[in-house]
Amino acid sequence: MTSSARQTILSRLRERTSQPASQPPDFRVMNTRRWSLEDGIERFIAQQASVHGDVQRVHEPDLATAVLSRLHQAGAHRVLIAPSQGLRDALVTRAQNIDFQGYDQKVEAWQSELFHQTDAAITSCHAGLADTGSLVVIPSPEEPRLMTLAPPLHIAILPVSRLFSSWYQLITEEDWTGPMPTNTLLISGPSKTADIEQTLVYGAHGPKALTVFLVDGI
Amino acid sequence: MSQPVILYPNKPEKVYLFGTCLVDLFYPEAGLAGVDLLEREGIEVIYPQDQTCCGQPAYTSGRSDEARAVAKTQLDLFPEDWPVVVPSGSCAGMMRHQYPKLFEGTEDADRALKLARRVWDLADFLVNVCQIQLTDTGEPTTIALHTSCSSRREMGVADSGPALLRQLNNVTLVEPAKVAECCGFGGSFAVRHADISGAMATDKVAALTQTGCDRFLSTDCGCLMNLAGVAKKQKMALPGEHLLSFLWHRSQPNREA
Amino acid sequence: MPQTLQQSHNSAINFQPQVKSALANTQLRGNFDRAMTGLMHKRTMAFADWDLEALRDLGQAIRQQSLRQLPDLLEQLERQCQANGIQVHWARDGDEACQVVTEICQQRQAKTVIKGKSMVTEEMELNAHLEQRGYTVLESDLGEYIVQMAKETPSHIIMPAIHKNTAEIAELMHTMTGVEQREDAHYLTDQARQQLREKFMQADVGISGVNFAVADSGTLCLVENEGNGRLTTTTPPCHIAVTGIEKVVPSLTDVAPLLSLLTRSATGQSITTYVNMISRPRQPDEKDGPEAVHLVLVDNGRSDIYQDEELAETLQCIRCGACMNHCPVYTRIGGHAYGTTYPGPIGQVLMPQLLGLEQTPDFASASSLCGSCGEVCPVRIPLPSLLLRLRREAVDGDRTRASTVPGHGSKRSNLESLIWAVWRLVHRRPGLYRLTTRLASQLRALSPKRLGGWTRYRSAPKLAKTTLHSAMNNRSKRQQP
Repeated sequence: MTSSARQTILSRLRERTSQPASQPPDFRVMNTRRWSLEDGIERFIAQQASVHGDVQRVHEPDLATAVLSRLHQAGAHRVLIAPSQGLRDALVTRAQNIDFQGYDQKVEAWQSELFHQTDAAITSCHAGLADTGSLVVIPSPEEPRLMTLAPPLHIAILPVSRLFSSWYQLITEEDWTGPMPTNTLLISGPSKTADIEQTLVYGAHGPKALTVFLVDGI
Repeated sequence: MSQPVILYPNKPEKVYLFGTCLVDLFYPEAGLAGVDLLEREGIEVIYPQDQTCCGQPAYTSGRSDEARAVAKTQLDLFPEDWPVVVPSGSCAGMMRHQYPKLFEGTEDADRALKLARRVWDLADFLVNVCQIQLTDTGEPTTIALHTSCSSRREMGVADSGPALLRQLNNVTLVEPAKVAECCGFGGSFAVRHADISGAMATDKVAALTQTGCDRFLSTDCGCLMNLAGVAKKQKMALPGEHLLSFLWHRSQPNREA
Repeated sequence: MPQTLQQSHNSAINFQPQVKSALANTQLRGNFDRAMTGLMHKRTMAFADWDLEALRDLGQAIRQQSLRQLPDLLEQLERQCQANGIQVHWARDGDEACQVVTEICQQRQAKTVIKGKSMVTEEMELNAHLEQRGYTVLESDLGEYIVQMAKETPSHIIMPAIHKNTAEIAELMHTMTGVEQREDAHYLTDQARQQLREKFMQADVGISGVNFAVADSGTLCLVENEGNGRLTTTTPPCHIAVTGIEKVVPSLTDVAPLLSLLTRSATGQSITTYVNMISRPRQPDEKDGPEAVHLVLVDNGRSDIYQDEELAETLQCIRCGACMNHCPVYTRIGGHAYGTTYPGPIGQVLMPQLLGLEQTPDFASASSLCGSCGEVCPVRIPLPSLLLRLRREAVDGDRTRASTVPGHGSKRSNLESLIWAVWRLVHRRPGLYRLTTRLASQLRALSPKRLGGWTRYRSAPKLAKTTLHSAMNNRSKRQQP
């Protein structure tokens, strides 16, 4: 069925003989979205704030303290963090009452725990985007997809050096053509919905809170 | 493609007036006011007596064959290279923007395109070609303006009405809520979908009434007839007038004499 | 020949009575008026710091370029997806697409299916199809969840439950799920979150739509706020993405501007919470994500639309809903009155092409042609011109052009043809026109007080005492004695 469907559809499309004239895309308008580093940081923070995201700018030596303080504030006991995350050791040694663990088994083995008993996840980011206040997250074997989705609090570590003006700038500078990772995400604030009479509610199906640590000196 | 910038001609000695069938039958004083305003600006107005209708009613009903037949007879009426001014945004829009499409691929395509390029909305023409200066001779009054969708979106001349009214010192211009929303006229739409059209017109009349204006003006006779008709049926004290009639009456130097 | 597709839940034929009852429902009109007014304002604010016209030019150019290369891009997309391990299926119409999905579910011995928001699956009535075959199907987008509970269809393509207010939803959720009847969007959302979390974990298959399919990387882009789309495409062991064939673009570079247009036009957001780019199933070293990913490419009338250069502009649509948010007709009657999957201006243009003009007899005419839809469309689909084209097709009104729309000529009536023949006769003969109009003005006392639908809401217009023709004639006589 599907192979004859394929042929039918493609040959029907190719039946069209005339090709309407159209302008070639002019991408210049995308390049007007550029900010200097300090303006970009300011915009990133403001844009995250506008979607209920919380951004804390810290110097690298103060990062562990700041993250711990955020975890305590949230009352988190069980926190996911990748074993390779540089921050991990500093956190483990300093927080006795928090259980830090890696996402180290297939989801099927512990799905219910992941969804119901995990309070927070700390992940790295590929980049940050000033224009829209977005995080670019590329899930990996150590930081799988559900880390940024299942726990109610997502803490993201973003080096200032990885801040770009816009997604378009990132895509063009890093040349995102051709094969892509399994999953790539732009994340802007915690999950939300306005499906009930346009009342904005945070914490729809994903995290209820997102804190970004924007780190100088990494 | 984005809207091209409008390039206005220099002020001419003569213009043609295309009166439109609604003005002809229902609001001739608006057409005459347009003539008076143009003549006061030193422009001679030629009114070809053989004009009938731009073809829009048929065109928007999907009857392009009939629209083309009627429009074709209008193509012959403006032989000289003078501007053609129209006291209605929708008829101006029909001639300026739809004629080229209507005649595309026919033997009249070139003639239609040439005519289309010199069609102007009369109010816009007064502002941007004549650069008219009005002196207000009337009593203080509060006015709301309903700019037709054709003037606003098809012709892109929504600024001209307010620009003219702001020249009148004793006129306070107030803006109704949802100023850019359609009044519900839409030609045959008002008959085919009378209930939707009626709901839109009723809302527009309510918005105009809420401004507390003494009267409302419109740049298009269709909108005017629609809104005035609703106001009258609902027995609301909301008189309506064509923008051009109002401008002429307000700016005559010795109107009391 | 283009085939007319059947849609069992299509009730566009009953447009007029549906409009009457919608207009009489003051609650409904209030809900839509408030929502659409807010959305229009948010959109304006969201584009305030952009060169919007340049961005719309770009969006239009990208969509037109993509459509020009459509068959090639589809083949490239298929190749890249397959190279990535995504299985690609093709379906000529909605039924075939439903069968493809059913077969995948059978192979997986699935029992429960969870869905993210997808308009194309509404178009093919996938839920009904699967339920008839014994599958449990659950919508996970909050708006869709509410609509499904109410046994309704979405009334807006972006905000499916926009026709309901909080009180109505509280009562519905109380009745259907037993939660407290509290008029509190926060409480209700949290209850739905808890109810659905269990379902995500139990589902055997997740079905989603696609916002943009990227040909050069084989990537499926999904745009959403709630996280339900990510859960749908991550938690179940099998993900089936269903998309219309027109959604393909050359590369991610093209997605960036379209995304900027989409979210701002739709809800006034500079971006949604999530942009989810899926390029392959779970890899051996990965710990979550579906082990199988399928892409179903659905034609369902699109390749017929594609044949006509003018009408093919319909396929540029990125499904933002801005045309309905700004439509004075949609705002007053709401989405359900249309009786089709897609309401509002884009629905009025698309549905007659999919279902046939005879199935949608009022769609082309139910517009004042005010131009708001065309003015806001992020990819510059000339919606008013397309409505006019469909009007011509419906009455077979342009004998100089070829016609392609199913149901062509179905609205042509002898009575109307006669009226237009008389109109044409009078307006082509200036002498006859002047005579008739002068006569009409002189006999204006006799003009009718009732004029059908017009005078239901308005007083009858009054002819002037004299015509402009006569007045101008007298004037020139005065000036040239």
